[in-house]
Amino acid sequence: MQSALAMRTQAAEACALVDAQDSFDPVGAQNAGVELSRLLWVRCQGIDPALRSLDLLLHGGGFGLVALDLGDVPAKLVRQVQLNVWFRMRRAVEDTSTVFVVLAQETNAKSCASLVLRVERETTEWSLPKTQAHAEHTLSCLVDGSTHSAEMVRSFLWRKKPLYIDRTGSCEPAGTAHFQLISDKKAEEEELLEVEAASATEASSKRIQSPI
Amino acid sequence: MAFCAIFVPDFLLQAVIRWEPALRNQPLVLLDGPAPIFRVIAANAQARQLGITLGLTKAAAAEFRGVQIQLRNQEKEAAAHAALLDAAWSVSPRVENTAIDLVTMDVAGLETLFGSYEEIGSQLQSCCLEVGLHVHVAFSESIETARIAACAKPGPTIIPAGEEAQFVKPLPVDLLAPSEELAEVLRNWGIANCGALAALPVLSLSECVGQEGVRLHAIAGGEGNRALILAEPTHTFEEFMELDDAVEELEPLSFLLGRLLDQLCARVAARVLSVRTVLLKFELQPAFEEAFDTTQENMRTKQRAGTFRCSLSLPRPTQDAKLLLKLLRLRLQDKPPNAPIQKMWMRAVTDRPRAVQGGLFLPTGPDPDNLELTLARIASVVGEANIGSAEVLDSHRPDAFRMRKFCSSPADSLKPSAAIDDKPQTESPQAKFGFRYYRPQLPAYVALDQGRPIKVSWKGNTGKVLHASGPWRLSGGWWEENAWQEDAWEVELSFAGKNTASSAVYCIVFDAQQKKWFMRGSYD
Repeated sequence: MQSALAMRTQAAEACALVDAQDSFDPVGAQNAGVELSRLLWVRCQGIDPALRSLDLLLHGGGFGLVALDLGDVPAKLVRQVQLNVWFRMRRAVEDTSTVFVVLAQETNAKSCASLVLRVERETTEWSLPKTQAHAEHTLSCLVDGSTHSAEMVRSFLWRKKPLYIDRTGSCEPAGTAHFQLISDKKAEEEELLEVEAASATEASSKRIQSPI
Repeated sequence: MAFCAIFVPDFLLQAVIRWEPALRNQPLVLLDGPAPIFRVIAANAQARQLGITLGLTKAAAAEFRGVQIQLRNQEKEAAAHAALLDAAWSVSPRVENTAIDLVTMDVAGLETLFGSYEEIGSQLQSCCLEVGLHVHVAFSESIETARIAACAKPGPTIIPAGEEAQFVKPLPVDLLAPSEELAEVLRNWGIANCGALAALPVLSLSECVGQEGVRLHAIAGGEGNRALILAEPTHTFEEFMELDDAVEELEPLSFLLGRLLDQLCARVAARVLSVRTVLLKFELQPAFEEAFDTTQENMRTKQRAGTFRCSLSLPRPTQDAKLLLKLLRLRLQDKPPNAPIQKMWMRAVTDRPRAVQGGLFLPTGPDPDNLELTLARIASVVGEANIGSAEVLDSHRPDAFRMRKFCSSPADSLKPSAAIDDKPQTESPQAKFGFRYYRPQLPAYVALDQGRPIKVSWKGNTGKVLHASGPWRLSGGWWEENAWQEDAWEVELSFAGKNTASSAVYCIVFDAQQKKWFMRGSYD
């Protein structure tokens, strides 16, 4: 969801996030590339105000992406949302340029959803090997990242061979893709390595060009 | 050089009718004077037909059936006069504030901008009608002739150059506004109209009645010209309403607010401005218990009524009175006044209307007016502090941010972010961890082994630590009262279910100030 928000806000579109449990991390989102000034954040304390706010937002219109985060809401509460609510939401964004994304523990929108993805965390990457799980960690080895799998449960675009969301570029025949999320620290390290490699290449090319 | 005069007949009555249009078709009289000896100072045509004359006492006026009796209100008159000036400034910047019911202005050269004088006159009349005033308009080469013509005929009256004397000739001499002494002299001489006054020899007139007579003689001959005393345009737009019966409920109050806003927006629009902020002040009726100060010996000492203030600021100025009314209603719905309302003042802080060039290839955003209304409605659901865009603070403290008003300005849209300019569009940003905060942090019980967490319990959940990384010690604000210090751990917890086991990564913190463990949140 953060990536989607980052992409949309960087394209100068206004986006909205209805946060049902007030759990959004603005600092992390900004580091992930989300333009916070273009993101309307509605902090709710429960599913009822979240759905009411969402209804108003979708009918107000004009947003590039509207996300409803029900990730922390117990699944049994989300299940109680009647199907006509999801149909109404779908009708509100139908024939508009607004993308409506719901993040929840399980799929509830049923046939109202154009695309259903199931995302699961497979492994967490620590700097120490798994065999030393209980070994002493140091300050520099907080969580590095995690590997996730995304499965396309249902899509209206099945017949049109949809693009996979695999970030490494390796496409799999099935509707499942794997991708990796990394921590800020890891990202900084990788950027540093890239810069060092680039500077080393530049230096070597200069050395070649310069007369001996 | 051409001049235009705008005259408001029965100004005192129109200042009242402006707020209660239903009174326009009813017999209406205005009273003024030291209480309790109120006397009639103005009466409309219907009241005069019934036989009401000026100077009648309140009791005598009340004898007439169906007559609406109101007290003179100078604040309403001031607002009506300000509206009249605004209507004049909508056409010309050179306006003279001649009297409370009359303004004169220079309209030379405006034909190329607004059309003929007839069109300018019609525009002025419709503009005045929008602010609730029926006016007479007249144009002439002479200021005084324009003034007299406006007082005499509804118009728009256009007096061609050189025909001023001919036009003024049949008009009564009272329109020249002579002093009481001079009016008495002229009455004794049998001078009834301007033509008769203009026919008098000016030298003899000067000897008999002095310079005032000479001045009026010139005006009666169509020659009274002088320089305009220009009024300084003001940017204060204020309206006032006093209620006979205090209003308590929001529904009737919104009707009254709607009237005030309509008038304000019409005035603001006439000056080619937009409303940026609306300031509202209510004078409240004291409650029965509060009406008498029981702490004092004199039990019947009435206390001063309380006031209620409310303001509404818009990120984008608007002239839409309906939008402002909806926003004000939502604002008052959230924070209603705690007593019935007796008087209302509304003031508009204005700004220039915002004009932005759109673009075919720019992403569309929410309509600013519609967005403001949507935000206000959502704010009434979740609270005003819980909606907006986050702004990250320059602090090492985790979760340091503040909320600010969300504003999807088209100006921002015109300048896509630098990241887009620098990077190719096809390259997506590197995906990073998402973190979910528990706000407020949940108290947790953490079992330690050699200083490292091995089991974490919080809010009915217990997890065994598979991996733990930390502590990451953070502190700050030691130079302030709210100093903070904490040790953060990132832990992977496994939860044993009935059939399956699951795991998740969490962040736990030890607050060194409170000496307690807290669950901060989880990684997505």
